[in-house]
Amino acid sequence: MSINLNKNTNIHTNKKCRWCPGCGNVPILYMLQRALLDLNIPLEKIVIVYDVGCHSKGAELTKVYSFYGLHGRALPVAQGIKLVNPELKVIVMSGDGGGLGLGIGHLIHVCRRNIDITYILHDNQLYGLTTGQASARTEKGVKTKTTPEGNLEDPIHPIKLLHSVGCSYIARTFSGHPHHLLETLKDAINHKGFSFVDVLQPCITFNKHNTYGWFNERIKIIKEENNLHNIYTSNKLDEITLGVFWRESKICLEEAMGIGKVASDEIPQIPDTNKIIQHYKI
Amino acid sequence: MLKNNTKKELNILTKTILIGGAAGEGIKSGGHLLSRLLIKHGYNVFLYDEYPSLIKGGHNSVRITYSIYPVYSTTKLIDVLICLDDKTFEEHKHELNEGAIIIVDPKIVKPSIDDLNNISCEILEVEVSQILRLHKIHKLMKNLCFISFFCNLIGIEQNRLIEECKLVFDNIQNIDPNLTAIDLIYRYTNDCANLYKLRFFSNSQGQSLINNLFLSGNELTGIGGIEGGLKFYAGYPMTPSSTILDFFIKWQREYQIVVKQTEDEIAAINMAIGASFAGARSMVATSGGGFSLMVEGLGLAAITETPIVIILSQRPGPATGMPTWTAQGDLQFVLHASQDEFPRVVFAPTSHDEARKITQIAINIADNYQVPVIILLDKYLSESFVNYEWKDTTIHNTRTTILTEDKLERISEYKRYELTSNGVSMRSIPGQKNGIHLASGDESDEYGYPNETATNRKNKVEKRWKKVEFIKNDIPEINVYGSPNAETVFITWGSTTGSILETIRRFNTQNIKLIALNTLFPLPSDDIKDALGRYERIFCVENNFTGQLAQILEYELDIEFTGKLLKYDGRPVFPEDVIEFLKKQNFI
Repeated sequence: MSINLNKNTNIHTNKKCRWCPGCGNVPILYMLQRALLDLNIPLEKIVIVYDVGCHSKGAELTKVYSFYGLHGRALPVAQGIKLVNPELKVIVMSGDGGGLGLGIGHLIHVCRRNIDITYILHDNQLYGLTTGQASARTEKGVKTKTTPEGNLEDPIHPIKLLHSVGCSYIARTFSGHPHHLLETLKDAINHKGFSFVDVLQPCITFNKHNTYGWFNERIKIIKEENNLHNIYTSNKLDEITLGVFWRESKICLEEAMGIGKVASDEIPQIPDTNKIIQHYKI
Repeated sequence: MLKNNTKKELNILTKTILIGGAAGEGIKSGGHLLSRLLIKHGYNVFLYDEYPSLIKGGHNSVRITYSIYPVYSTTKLIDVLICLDDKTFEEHKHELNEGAIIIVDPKIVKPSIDDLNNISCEILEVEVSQILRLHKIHKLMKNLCFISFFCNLIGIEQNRLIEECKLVFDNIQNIDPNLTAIDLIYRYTNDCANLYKLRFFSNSQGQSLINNLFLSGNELTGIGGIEGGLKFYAGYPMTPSSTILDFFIKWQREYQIVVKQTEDEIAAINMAIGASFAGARSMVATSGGGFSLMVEGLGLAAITETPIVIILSQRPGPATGMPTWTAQGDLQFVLHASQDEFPRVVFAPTSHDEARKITQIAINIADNYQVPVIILLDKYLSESFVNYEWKDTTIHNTRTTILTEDKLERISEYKRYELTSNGVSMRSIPGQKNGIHLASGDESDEYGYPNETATNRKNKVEKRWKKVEFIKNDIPEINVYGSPNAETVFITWGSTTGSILETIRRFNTQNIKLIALNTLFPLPSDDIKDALGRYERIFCVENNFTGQLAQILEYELDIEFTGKLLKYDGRPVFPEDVIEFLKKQNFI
């Protein structure tokens, strides 16, 4: 399957793409645009919140409401948006640097809340935009700019981690497999609750270890969902499994709170304060 | 407030009670009960509690200043010292006023006259522990016993105390032990009834304050938020701001506000920015440590021009500092927090009433000018309680820079960050057709797309700064008290204002003018100059070491201060501190 660049569609701004030729970000963004078009979601009802990293160059390419926030802090912004307007479809784009490094606390807490947001992790196993330092996803022993003698630390395994904190949808896909990527993204966006998609992607400029070839040799698609054995073995390097690892239906925080949409363009009226007066009256 | 009578009479009319004991002994609830009774008998009350950062044990105290005149602050000198434990006497014996009464259980505290530094005091003993033991009543009733004794002494009728007790403790399953304790104390101390009525209670005005509310600076801040149309609040618990979070949790359903306790302050401010971007008026509250974490978010709100209100209730720092005490050390920090420079609005309410009004104003300014607004409170204002006469707000909510779908439809090429004469561009919110845009933490062009050209950068910096001149039209008026021709001028900001007002009232002087600033940025320089007029001496009063406002005024307005009253021991500036300062300056 070739990548449809979504040019001449309403969702594409036709701004110049600023990624390295062959970058894994390209298929991820374009398949996300395609998924949103296929799902027929009105574009004004979509908000994409971008972390800071190479992936966030997608902000200027996609014509939906977008917020380009701070490094590691995309998730709180997205949660604020969703909590005041549950009618919006909210998507977070993050790299493994901001998502599993600086911002990992937010990722764990959003799982506990199960807010209906889709989180797309651009997982290239290092920091690309700052020119190739080790990330929390860099394999032990791998040499990068900041680990010239090989990485001394173990990587984080997001699938196992998020399962342990109650994430209601966990999937993994690969930017070099556009069809699987597209179907996974659509499935995740349709999931009601917090959905996490780990998208493995080569960084063709700085990551000389996890290349397209390296991935292609190891990738295996699994069909069976909610199999704890698959989650347990998801960190294996000889066989890298793709698919939906966990899918669970549970109530979303915004539903449980029961307040609904409070965002509006109206002028707020002074509310009736009688109950307050009565409460604090001596 | 300057019309009052002589110095002597004022001393009779204003009294301070201090109730002290171990944390967990019901010091706070006892103080509230007594305060409500005093208000119902026509007294104005200012209640301030001091406690360490722990839940059980340690020393807790509550200071209640009451007067038939408005009370602007509590006092250092104590007229009634109620000791539930011996530590209370030890900690506060140096703060006793001439003629004070000390109420103790002789089994617990044995004050010696030598301890009293030649101050004439009376020691009144009540055998609380023995009475409780004899009648098999739980020792938790101790606080109520002491309060009952004091009430009996000053002539508050037993049935009024019982009535109030039932109201205040309406959540207690079995109130009977409370009522029994009250009854016992009134009977045991029958011969003391009304003994001190003349000295402490003779000016009771009966029912005149019966419609008052009794609430804290933080609660009034919350009310201002509700009146300003707040729709999203996020917070992480941090003294002394935590009761703002509690307030919104309590009222979230009634006023349809989305309230979220977050994993940290970074999440709180970023969530609020997201909610505001989506069109909900949003606020966060914290103290200095939490604000330190929020600083990057402050800059994000500024560059994306997303409205946000941040409340910072100050306490002594740095780091954990003294969590439950008061300070005004964060002014220069909030004025400059974040990398680079951008306009923000900084308010510091000077009273409980202003905390409410300014919060409502802040929410409107943030929304209309698309800027971050910071409200500086401190422990002293946040957690002190006053009787409050309710008046409906006269401030109108406005929303001048948000677009509707109808308006968007008529715009052929919408520019979210259009360069305009006042620097403010019209804002669309997600969900609206034709308003799709990118809000970017990167410097961006008029459409919101990242743009690093020199011309664009220059235009955008100037666009943001343009707003300041226009914001000046919307800030609240400067507070000026006292005689316009007074030769002595005091300048304060925030909560220290109350002690100067109290001093002016006590001395009934025409020779002091007080300029109390509620807005620190944009600084109302012209109004300050007008208010200053001609003067002989000028003093600043601040709860910090370096005189942070004074430095600003020295720099901005070329003011040379005659003296600075600076207090940085974690305690509020008391009227006595001001009087002592004036004595040192040979003013009195």
